[in-house]
Amino acid sequence: MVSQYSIEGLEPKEIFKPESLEEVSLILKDANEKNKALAPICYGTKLNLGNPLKRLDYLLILSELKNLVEYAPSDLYVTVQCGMKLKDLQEILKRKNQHIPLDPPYYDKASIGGIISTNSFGPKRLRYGSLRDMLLGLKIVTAEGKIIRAGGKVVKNVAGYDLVKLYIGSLGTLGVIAEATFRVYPLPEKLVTLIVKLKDYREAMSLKERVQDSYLLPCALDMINPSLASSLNLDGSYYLLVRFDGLEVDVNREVRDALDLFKKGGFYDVKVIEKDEDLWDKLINYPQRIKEKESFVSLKVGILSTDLPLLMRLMEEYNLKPLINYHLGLGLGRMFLIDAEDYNVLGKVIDALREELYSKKGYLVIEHSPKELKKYTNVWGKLREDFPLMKGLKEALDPKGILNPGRFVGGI
Amino acid sequence: MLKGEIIGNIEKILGKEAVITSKTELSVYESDGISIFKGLPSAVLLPKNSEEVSKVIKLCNDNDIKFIPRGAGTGLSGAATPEGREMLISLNRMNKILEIDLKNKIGVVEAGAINLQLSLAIANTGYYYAPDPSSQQACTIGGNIAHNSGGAHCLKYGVTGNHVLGLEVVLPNGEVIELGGKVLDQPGYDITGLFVGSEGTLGIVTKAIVKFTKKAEATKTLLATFNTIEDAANAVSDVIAEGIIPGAMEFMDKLAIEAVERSVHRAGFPRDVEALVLIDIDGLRDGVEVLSNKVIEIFKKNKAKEIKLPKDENERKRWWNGRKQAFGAMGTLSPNYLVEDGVITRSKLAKVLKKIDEIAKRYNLRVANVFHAGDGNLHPLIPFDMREEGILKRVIEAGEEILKVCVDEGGSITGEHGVGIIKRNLMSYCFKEEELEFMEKIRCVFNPKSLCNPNKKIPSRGCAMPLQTTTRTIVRGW
Repeated sequence: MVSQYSIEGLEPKEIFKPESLEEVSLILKDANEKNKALAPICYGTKLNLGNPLKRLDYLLILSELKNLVEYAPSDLYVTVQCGMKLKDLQEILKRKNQHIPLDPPYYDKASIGGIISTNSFGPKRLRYGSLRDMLLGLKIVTAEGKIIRAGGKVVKNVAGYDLVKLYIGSLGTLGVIAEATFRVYPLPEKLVTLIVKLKDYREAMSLKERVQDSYLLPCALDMINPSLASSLNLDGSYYLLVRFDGLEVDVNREVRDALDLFKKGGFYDVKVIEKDEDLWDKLINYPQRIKEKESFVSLKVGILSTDLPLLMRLMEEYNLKPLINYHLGLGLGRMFLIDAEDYNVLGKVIDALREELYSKKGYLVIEHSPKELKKYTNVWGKLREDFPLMKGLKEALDPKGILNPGRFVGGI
Repeated sequence: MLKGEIIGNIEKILGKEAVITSKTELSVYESDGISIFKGLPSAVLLPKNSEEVSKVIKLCNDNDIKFIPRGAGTGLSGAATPEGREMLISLNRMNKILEIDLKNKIGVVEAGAINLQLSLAIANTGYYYAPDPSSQQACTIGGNIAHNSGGAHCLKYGVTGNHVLGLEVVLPNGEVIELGGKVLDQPGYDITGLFVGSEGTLGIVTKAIVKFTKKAEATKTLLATFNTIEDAANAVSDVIAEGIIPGAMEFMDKLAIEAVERSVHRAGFPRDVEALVLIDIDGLRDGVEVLSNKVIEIFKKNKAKEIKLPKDENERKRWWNGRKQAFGAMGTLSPNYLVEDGVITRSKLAKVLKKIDEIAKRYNLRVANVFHAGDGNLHPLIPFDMREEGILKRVIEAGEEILKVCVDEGGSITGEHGVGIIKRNLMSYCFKEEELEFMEKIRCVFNPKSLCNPNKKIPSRGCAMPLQTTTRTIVRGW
């Protein structure tokens, strides 16, 4: 029997659900003393990300640490405990006409701590940046159970090393993120999305350049391929989704001028969507919405938009037919494979794709997949030349290797 | 002192002309922008490329010679100042812009490239390099990275770290490695992010990959003057509280205005006021108008004496130049000055400025306040005359007391200048012992023998045992 608490089939021996920072600290102290492997989780939306754990003793469920610690709307910052859902935080901020401009997958379920640990993001990163740009401070419980602060609540701070950056995306391997302080932003008055129908992906590249060279400031600029378009109830073509947000006067003008710009380029089939939340929600959460957990493969691809043709050519060459969502301005994309069956073959294809992507300084990471696939290829890809530093950091900050052992890059 | 033999070996690597050892020439390098701390280096090396840097550092590592990286020497914390005859490795000759990738809006530069040169290189493209410390005409990208420098526009556009995508660094053992890259989110820990702001204590940055930012379509500059410091401070807080993020919002008090107006950088600021706020509201054309009107309302509500628009672009430039040159202008008030760099949340501005005034009075000193008000980054300037006996001690103590107030109010001892030497004593005031230990563990991973900029940033407690970080030991971990 696999319990609801198993992580890729591995059962924890003890489960903890602390209600305070002090409890978290005691549990970590205990784990460290007894050399018990510990996995911190909240709502388990991304448990599948990473290598299979090498061992698991304690499961630390942080969902009870969900309080608002401090909210200073007029100073534009908010501090919350890591178990709060992003969605719940946004509700609190909304009452003061503010928000955090972050639109990651699993929006309605994911916790703040999980989002930070996985450096989760969405299309709005184009305009607002990632967690690196909006996270001011963290409170961390170290592998030895010490409570330390990183950063603070002011927007500029260079006292000490920038530990906030180190912890973003560190997948719970360097400590437990207990509290986070974010910069908050005024809610946009208006959001509008233009859906531009394209003949092929190359048109997306040329439109991106036109937008880049104009005054327009979209918050998202995403290309979707025909199979993903179909699943969003658009016909089977390539599309460019251009989203504008901000003050109403600005958005109105941007929409008007963008329509003009597209027309001049010969793009006449453009839909203007005023209530666009649903569309983006569906796009960002596409596979996890329609499929049961574990059964789909989600790949994160990093490749500059000028090298997009390489990625598309590789898809044809290897006869891979993923649903593709590529964030043009960011050089990052997600590819979903819904019905992969032969994981042995897929593993080899992924390895081959990676070699090509590395030649352009790109990469491919398996964000979600059945455990089976991980037998045939590795999740993170090739080790870079800074890996020894990463290993050194892990050994220095978690000397017994109790935190999420094996899950991250190179088995750290 | 360095042995002649070692200098000889270094000369073989770099060439004789790239090694400075004569005392007169060395004295040029005895301090950075904070001249109250001075120390002669044992030698100054001027390598031309990363390979030379690497070779020299390997030699240092093998012979346990301490060294410090140095850019333009405009830093304001003493981070590049020798304390024990360390060797200086100057990156000034490595000043090339290596690549401008306009399609991807990315630039690749050598560490010694001048900040402003980078923006000038892409001047007509509609894009620029956003971090703009006041010293941008002289300071280097490498120095900016070491200090995670900010500038007037970082509330809206972010500090250096938000614009650096990747680095080439030479580790303290001489290895050259790449961190991050043009493509975002390279798998693994964000070592680039950790490196930025580490003040040369983790290694030496030799190249940087940076991103460019689209120029704002419209910018409106306003100059508002106030009869009391409190009104001006409240005006600043209210703008932020309204959710308006201006491109820049700067604050100058009477003494700072006086200094600028007496200097060659005279900006034409009104002198009969207690404080002024200089603000850039930028963004899309229509939005800028909407927000400017809101800002004007807020200033009026806070009893602004006068709200001025610049007559023309020249006047606008003069105002901004006046602000950017304000530190240098302190020379018109006294031969020396100390600049502090505390940060607080904006709602505390009025309260903290009042406390600063009290502290200054208690120490019988004057304080000029000129700072990035939008992000709560205070720069109290304390003018003094070094020739006066015992004054330096008093100035430093007053400065420390001001920074303690910032910490007590939930802020920080440094927003953009760094810790260096000058704020090292205060680290234990704002961090707990275990936090400092934690940071030391990180330093030891990179810099186990503490040869690279020893004892800067974090008071050194020594490394338990050197950790292996050589790239030759790569283990395939899956």
